[in-house]
Amino acid sequence: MHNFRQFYGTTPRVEFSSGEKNTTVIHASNGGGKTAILNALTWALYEKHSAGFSFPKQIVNKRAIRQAANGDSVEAYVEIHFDHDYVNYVVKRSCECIKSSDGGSTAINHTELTMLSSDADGDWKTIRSPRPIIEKILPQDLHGYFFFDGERIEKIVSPDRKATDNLAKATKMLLGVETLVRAERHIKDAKKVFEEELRNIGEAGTKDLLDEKKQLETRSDEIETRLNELTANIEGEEERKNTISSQLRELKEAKVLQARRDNLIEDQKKRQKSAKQNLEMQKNLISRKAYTLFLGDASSKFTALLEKLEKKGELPAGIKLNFVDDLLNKKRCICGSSLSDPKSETFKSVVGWKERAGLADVEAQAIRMQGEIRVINSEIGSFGDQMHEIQIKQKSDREELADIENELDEIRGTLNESGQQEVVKLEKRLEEAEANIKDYTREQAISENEAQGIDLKIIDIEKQVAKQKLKNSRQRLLQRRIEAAADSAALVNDLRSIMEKGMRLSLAERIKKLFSKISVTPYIPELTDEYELKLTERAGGAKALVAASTGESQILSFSFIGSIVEEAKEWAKKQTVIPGPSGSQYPIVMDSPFGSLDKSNRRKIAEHLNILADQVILLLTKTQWEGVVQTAITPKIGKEYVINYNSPKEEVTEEKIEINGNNYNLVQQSPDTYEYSTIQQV
Amino acid sequence: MPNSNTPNERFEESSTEVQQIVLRVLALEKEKLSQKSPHIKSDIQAIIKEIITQDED
Repeated sequence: MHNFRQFYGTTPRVEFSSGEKNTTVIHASNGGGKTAILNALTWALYEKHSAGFSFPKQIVNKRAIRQAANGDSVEAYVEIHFDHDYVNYVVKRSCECIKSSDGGSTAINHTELTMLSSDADGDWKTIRSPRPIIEKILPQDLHGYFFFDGERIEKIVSPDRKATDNLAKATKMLLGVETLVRAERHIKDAKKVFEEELRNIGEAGTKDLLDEKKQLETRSDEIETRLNELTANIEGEEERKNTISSQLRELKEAKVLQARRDNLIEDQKKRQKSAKQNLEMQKNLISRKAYTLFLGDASSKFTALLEKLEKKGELPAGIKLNFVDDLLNKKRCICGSSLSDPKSETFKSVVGWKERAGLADVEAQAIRMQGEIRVINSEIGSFGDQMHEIQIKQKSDREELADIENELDEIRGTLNESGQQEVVKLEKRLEEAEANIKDYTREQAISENEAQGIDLKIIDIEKQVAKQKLKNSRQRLLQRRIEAAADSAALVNDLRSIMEKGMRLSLAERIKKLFSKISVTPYIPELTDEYELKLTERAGGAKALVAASTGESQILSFSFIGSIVEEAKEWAKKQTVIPGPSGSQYPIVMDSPFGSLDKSNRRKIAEHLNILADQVILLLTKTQWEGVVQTAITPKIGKEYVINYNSPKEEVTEEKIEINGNNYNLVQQSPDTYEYSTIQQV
Repeated sequence: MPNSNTPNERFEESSTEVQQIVLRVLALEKEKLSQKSPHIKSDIQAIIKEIITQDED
């Protein structure tokens, strides 16, 4: 770091340990520069800062500004050296400010990001667009997990919908899915160029088909743009609704009713979710078991047939064909009579048994089928029972939803008639927002439907183009290239979907294992399809959501990031044809990770931190360090630093920390009138 | 949704030509992550042209 926040001049290089002792501890006092170090990393990589980073625009060190001449510019920068996928990188972000004639300073808003890379040849090259490279190595949306601010974790564990979407995208990016998304898009682009060529030189029929396809694609693009607009509009209106609702909660006249409405809306969401699940269950049940309803007649016919055979004495067969054949071969009956003369009555009688013995095969089949028919009969009954059960639930959901809607209408009516101008005004705006959401959602459904129809038509046209009998060999070659591009895009798409599914399931399993290893609670974490992290418990056999405490949320967050790191490594090891994540090591930097935890959670987390990532960097105050944390972490330390804070206050209380028998200053009196920090390696 | 369980299984279901195209495109994507789409599009066209050279099997 150079002139970055508290750090005056250029600090020594701070190295993060890896390998067996993979933990780096940086000791500091409150305000000494812990958060500045965490933010040096996020600022350099993403130009982002954590919630606890005050005055984010004041990057340049104050002492450096004061010492500069009026009109001079003062630079601050952070430089990070790392390697990833066998390539070395240097990322440097800098900014400057100009010292004005009155001694103040003006920060220049623009920051400069440079990135160099060097692979096996050892030559350093400048990367022209560093952002996508950084994004691929460590996506920005995951930075809150990799660069963890222990005092501000609520946003991490309770993200909104947009944040979970970004989280899902970022996780997939880190795990290498983005490459496949890009590949599919680019293959499709290349295919369009071939189609354009074929359209230009093709015969009338092919040309017409490709013209139609082009028009459909243009319409499809328009719909996609509109759908994106609609999603943004809905998000905007939802935000507006939230703001209005919180304003209503503040108003004395509306407070109670608004609180009731919030609860009702929460219940409404749950019921709607349950109704959706029931509908899915119903669909599944119908597709798996509804056929049994049509087998009732067949089953009765079978039973009647069987009974008839039994009555006639043809079943059970009673005697085996092999046995009769054996008697005839030996020419002697079991009663001792000779069977040598085919004309004798004895012979004819024994041969007569052969016909009845022939039904033994029928008997074997009948026994097997009886078993199957029994299963089908029981399924017919259970289908009805299960269907009935689902319908009861659906009825209850419908009734509950109707009650909720009635009560919501009542609340609206009461608020509108309250006579309070402010309440009525807000209520009107809320109604507008809701009406807009309804309109946008309806348009969204219509557009999605149209888009699906267009996709089907495009697939159909593509098939027709592929079937066209083309006379010219150049046309046929283009036709084959189009087909190959389509098949390649489909293959990439399928690979992506298999990979995404596998990764999420495996990530979910890892999170469960890591959480149960660290946490003392019996709760089970879940990662939903939408990448939402939840804590659940088994209460009397049923699964219920748990409101996670700060400590549990923190463990959940650590389990998530630890699992991503582990998953990335495992995928890199697998020999698959598709590009997975890199096998590189990942760091986790944590500022005050033990701040909001009780003693047992502190010890548990401290004991397991080193397994979360390949490099663990801890920024701790003396109080956070001493005791259980120190005991658990000391054996795992590879590097250790102390931030020495120089306070300009006249009567400053000095603070020291003892490490390996030596005393290091955490806080001391500044030798001059400036406030600054320095870094010292232990 | 594809029926195959693993990427390798799905990959094996494709023709050799398609396999070759996909492998080369993925390698290209990985190598040129920051490249703008128009360049990659023409690179991919070149790959397909190089692999599909005959008008008939």
